[in-house]
Amino acid sequence: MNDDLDLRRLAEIPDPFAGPRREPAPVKAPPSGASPTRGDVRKKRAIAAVAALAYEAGWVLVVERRRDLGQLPTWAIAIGLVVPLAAAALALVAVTGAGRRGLGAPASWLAGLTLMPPTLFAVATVLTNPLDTGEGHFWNLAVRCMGVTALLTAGPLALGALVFRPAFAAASVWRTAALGVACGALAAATMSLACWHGGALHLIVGHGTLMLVGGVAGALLGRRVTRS
Amino acid sequence: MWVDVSDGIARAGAVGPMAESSTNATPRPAAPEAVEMQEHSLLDAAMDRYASGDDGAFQDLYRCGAPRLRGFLLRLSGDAALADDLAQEAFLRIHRSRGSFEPGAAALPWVFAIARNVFLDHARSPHVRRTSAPAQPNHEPAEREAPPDTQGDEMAIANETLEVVRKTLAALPVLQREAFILLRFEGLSVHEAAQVLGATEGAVKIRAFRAYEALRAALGRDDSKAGDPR
Repeated sequence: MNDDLDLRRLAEIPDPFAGPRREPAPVKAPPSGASPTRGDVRKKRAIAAVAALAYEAGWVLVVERRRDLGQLPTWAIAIGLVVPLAAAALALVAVTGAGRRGLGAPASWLAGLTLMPPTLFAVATVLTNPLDTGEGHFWNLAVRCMGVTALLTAGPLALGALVFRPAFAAASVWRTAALGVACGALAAATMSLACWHGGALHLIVGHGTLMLVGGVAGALLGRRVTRS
Repeated sequence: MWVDVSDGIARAGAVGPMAESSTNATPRPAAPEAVEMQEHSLLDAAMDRYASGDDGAFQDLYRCGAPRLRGFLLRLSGDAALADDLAQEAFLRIHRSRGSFEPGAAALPWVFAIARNVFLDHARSPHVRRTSAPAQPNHEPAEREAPPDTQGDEMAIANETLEVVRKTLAALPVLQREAFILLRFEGLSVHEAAQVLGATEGAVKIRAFRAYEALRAALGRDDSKAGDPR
């Protein structure tokens, strides 16, 4: 259908605001106020990334870690970490990718990169874990884990919103939603070290739902906080 | 306020049908391509220096970017005084977010994206919503008149045509208006316009074409009115 749209015809419309060009008034002084340079921004983002990882690690080291962590084979721990971390990395591509013109990836890519991580997490979790381990109290456990995962998502998301404050000139809603998804995925990775439950349904509902919630929270922040 | 953009900066441009174009880029009726290329690279270099922390680059950034920025806002808002105010706000936002400008990126689409955000924030502000009755825009006659070589009746017709375009443009939905302005008057490619608007290329093409159809229809109505013997 788009091939039928001959955009050359747009040139038939005259410009009602065309006119002689006049030089702008000279600038007396550059604007004042907070204006971090590119170097400052990179430094802040690096600090925020380290702080987010420290927050997650702190939870496992200080607050809660699964009782059977010492007895688990390395591959089981690795799968629990790699799947959500891969999802987080995918979402971060949408957040930080500059795109060809410096305005981020094209909209269709951003949508894909934002929605794919939760899907990837769900599919990989079903493939690598038994559907239900039959421990009972499914919803009690799931709701408890959702609460903990929400805390683990909120910290990095708040830090992210702070350092990306006026960072996205275009597609800020999608890009901040992707940030929320990445934070949710990071929290799911942390939960794989904190929660002993191994059922795929529990992992998806209890640990993975926050990717979607983080995405929605990010989208709301994108409209007000991270847009340039 | 720290800069004065109220000086009425407008891009040069002829009135009437334009020549060649590719499907991805419609021509701007402004300066020759070489001059425009030079302006773009000056703007890119100034923005790159400014993002790296060279405060002195702001002068160059303003000199190269202000006319384009203000022209874009004038076409979006249809009001010269409002365009001046929004341009001020846009430069303030550029100043605040300079650190997020990617090295080697094109400055113009980035600047347009920020200007668009400023315009949308203004359009969505409660004050504007409350007073959403169509106000008389602050005209800028010098920018709307037909070229000086046009004479007599021709000039009257040309001015009337421009007035119809201006009114129809102002009445278009923002999504269609901004897509049309970026492609037709600001010379962006479909890809660039899609990046600025955060939309897909297909959506941008459709929006711009719908705007074109509305404008064409308005001009058609105007022509038939002029030809009416009554």
